[in-house]
Amino acid sequence: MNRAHWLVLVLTLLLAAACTSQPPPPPGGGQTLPGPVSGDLALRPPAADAPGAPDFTAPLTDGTPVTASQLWAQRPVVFTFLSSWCTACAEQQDALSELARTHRDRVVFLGVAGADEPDELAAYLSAHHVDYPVVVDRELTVWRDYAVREPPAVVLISRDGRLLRGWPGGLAAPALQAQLNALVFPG
Amino acid sequence: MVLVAAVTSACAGPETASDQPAAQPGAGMGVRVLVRDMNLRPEGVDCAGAGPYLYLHRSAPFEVRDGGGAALARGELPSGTSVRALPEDLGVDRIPTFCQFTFSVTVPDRTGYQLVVDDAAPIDLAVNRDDPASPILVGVIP
Repeated sequence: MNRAHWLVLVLTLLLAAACTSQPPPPPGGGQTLPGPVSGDLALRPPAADAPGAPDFTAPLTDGTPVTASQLWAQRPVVFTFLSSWCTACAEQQDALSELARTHRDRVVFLGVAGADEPDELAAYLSAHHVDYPVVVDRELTVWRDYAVREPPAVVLISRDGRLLRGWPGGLAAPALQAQLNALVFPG
Repeated sequence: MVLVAAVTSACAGPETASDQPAAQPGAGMGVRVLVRDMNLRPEGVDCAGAGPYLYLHRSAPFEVRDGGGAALARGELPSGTSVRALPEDLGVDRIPTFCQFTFSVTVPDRTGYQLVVDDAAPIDLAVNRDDPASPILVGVIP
């Protein structure tokens, strides 16, 4: 086999590999759900009069159903309400994505996307490196349950499903970290 | 070369020219749409319509039509800007606001105009000629 034959063989194999490789999973889908919670996760108890958070089951971007109470049964949860067209969401998103990676498996972030188109949402999640699960709230029922009238908004929920605080208009990552320190993690 | 042309042709999207309104002589006009959603926000920040007006947001497709329903111009909404809803100084950052959209279209002279956003109900636009040199189209929701 001469050099030209080798070249053709290598190119053919490369093309075959490119044609048979699986497309990457959509951002925000089931593969982003958190792993087991750390056994030594120490948390501040929520205020006794903190109200219960509305539970819901809704599909992630790839159709995987997720139930909020199953997430907060093990660890605190941060909901980030977002839309791909929302400029304030985009301004806050990169740092929130990084904060979510920092706390992965200790505090789970869950995006709740509404009033959006699938392609535009996928592009937004990729552009802003959103590695956490994202619910598609097609009928805006979760938005209404949490009184979200316009994105962005952030809601913090304790491990046992109590509403700790919410921020209409969203929250920058350093401020959210400060709130986690004050309301969730022991001093 | 033929292969490149064929691939380029195959990858090209459908023709869009037929989607455009018929070209007519027109003039640039400002459009100002006030969404009276009474939402708590800082003044002067980007916004979308809140609650039932959420369909009014950046990148939402719109069409300006004449009184008979004929399309005159198409585009996508820019971000809205929050404007104070009440004159009082409430002493807080987040105050009752409306969301105002401001953009320009090129439309021929007609007796009436409507704005249709994302197939929602038409919004009547009134011609404001306070500045005769620069008339603007004004809509208020609701």
